[in-house]
Amino acid sequence: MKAEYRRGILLKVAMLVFSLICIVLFVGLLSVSNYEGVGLMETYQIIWNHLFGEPYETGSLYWWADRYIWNTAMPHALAAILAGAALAVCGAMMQSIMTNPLADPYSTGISSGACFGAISAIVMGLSFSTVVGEMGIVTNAFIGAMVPALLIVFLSQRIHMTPATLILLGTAVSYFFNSMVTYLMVTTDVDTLQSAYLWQIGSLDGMTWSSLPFMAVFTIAGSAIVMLMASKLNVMSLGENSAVSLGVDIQSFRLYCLILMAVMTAAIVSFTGILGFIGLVAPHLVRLVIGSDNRFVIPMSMAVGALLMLVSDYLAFQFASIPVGVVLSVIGSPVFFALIVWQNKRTGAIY
Amino acid sequence: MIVAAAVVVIVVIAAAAAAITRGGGDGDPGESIASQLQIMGNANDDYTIDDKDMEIVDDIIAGTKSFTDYPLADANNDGKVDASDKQLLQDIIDRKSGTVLRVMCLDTSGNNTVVDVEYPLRNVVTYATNMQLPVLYANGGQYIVGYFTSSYEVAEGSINPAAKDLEGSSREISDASWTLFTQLDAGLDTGVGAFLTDYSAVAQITASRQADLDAAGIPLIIYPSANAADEITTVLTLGFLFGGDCESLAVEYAQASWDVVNAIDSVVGDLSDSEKTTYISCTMWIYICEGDSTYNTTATDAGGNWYGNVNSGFGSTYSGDGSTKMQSVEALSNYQDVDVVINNRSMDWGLTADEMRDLIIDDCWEKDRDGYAVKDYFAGLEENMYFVNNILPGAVKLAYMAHILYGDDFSMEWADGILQQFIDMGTAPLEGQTVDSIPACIDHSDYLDAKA
Repeated sequence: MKAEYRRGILLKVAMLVFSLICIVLFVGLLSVSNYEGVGLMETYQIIWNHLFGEPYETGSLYWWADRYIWNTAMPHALAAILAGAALAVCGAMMQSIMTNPLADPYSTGISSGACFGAISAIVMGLSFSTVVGEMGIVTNAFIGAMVPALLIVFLSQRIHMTPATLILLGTAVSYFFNSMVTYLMVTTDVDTLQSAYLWQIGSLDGMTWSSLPFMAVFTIAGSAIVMLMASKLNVMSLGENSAVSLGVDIQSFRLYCLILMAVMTAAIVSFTGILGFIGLVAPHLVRLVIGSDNRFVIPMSMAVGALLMLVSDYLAFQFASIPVGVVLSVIGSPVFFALIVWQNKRTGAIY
Repeated sequence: MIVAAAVVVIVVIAAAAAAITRGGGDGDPGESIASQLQIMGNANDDYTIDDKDMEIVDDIIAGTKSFTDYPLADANNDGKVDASDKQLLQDIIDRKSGTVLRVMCLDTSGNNTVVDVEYPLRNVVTYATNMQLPVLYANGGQYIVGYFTSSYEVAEGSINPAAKDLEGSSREISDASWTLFTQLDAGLDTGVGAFLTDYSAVAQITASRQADLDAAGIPLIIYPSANAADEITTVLTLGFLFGGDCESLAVEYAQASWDVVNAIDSVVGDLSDSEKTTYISCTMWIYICEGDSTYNTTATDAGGNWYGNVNSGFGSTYSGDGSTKMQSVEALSNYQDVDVVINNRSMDWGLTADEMRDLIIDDCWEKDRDGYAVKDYFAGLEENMYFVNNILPGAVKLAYMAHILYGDDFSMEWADGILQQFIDMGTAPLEGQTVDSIPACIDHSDYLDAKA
């Protein structure tokens, strides 16, 4: 028993260390992949020198590489880490409070709301706020993403909310917003349509340092809160009856979790567009290795989610700079499929 | 007494100004060029920087002339004219290598700015056809070290063969292309001398790219050279910056160009709007140019009156500065009373007779656009529709447009003569060409002849 416990701890530590090493590796690979003549180790050297060393000669290869790494690659990589971590945490939380392995951060219609907000800004120039331009799209997407959450809060005062009700409501909201998005897209010109479509796919291109504080604040603060709630999430995973019998006010707790998840997800997708599968796959991968204890699943999902996003982003760049959302879909669906089949074969259950 | 003195002063200044801008018979090639060389130190605002500019600077320092009347006398752009301007101006007049010139151009927001450029300008990187071709027309292709796109094998054939293809496109400079640019700069001993682009392509110069250029000390020179008249200025200024034979060629190019502008203006300059020929401009076969597009600016410079000025429905439908694709072959059916349609096409040259015939039929009149031939979109207007080659020198485009708009005053032979003049000038893109090998202006009769 003691040996098994020790092996479990070792496994968790090993997975965390492996994920962190891979994250560092892929941050380097992402930085170096665009720069012939600068190797992987030189990239780490450049990063180190930028932080602690002497500046390079203006116009030299390392000077340009340093500018590229700090102005383009690093915000890009950090955005990938934040997006992957936040979406994975939200996915893990959703799966626990819904007691549903298919739940993800978009189950309540957040993605379609964000889509409608962003695309109304792109296609019609319509802004829900006074902010215009690129930040106008971000603001619109954030506000759009919050609409389904607010709708659920509003309805929860009037009807009894079960996980099934929440998911069905999310489906209805998604259909509504998707129809509006479709209408906007079929009535616009080709160039605008392309911009709108690319936003829908999800991409980390064009990330700058100025994009990060907003994403970071919500990701870090939100993840910390989720980790503090990990024990309660464990109780919720046991099912409604067990949770009630153990003293959890499931209606209120579920509502708080939904609002938290909506804010965290909106803070990410408003900048990146819809990045699918991370919130679904990352927690399942973690559970497959270390079990279902949310005290470990939450932080491990953050690491694995960040790593998956970085790997996908690296592959997206290698394959003719396609948007990362395409790669996520391409690798996310077979991975998820394999997980279901393997887990089902091994334990007779998928969760 | 005071009034009389003032009158004398005014008359003397006016006479001097007239001598500078209109010519005094001393044989200078560019006397009709006014306010064109976009370099600080060009105190008299003419086509070059020479001793005449120094005289003005001397007079300003001596207090006999006012700086406010000659703002370009401030060669070092420090807000005053003093001995340091005189020293710099002397270096410019001597065409001294290593001299830092203050070049007037646009910034990415379209505002006037001044950037520092080392003379002579070398190692340039070009983006956008509308800037690349002026560089080549000034015979500056030899100084191009990198380009993002080159679409015209013959017209752009004078780009330095050693120049690096930075793998952009006419619509985009990708992050990967920008990285190639930075690597190019890093690999050159003296770095990239300047980044040259046309204002219509300025969206690709993002804030971070602008910051890259600023940090690396690479001047960004932006001109609105898609417009034919502005292209003349661009060629003149670039020729000066390249120096040597490029400068003399650019002066000749600008002189010939302004002669064309003046010839057109002498005929149509006094016409009222109602007397002017109305036109609709198109581009990319079936895109209608909006009111403020540079294609319309060029046609207006050629003496035309944009159709939107006489048909408010058309004017409101096609307001803006871009272009709108025709959604059906009926798009122009309500505007059949327009006098001419000018269809701007970018077409490479060096064509044989057979290639020219194929181009006229397959790539102009019968080009398939969304299941219809181009000519179907202009049903009823065929006789009045003309394709004009957009990559020709600006003045040549103006000449052909003047012919299209006012055929009685400007014959096809006259316009062809202008093209021949530019061919004979020795500008590299037109080298070895003839009037027959260049698809300059294609009308309906050319199409019927090609079909026959």
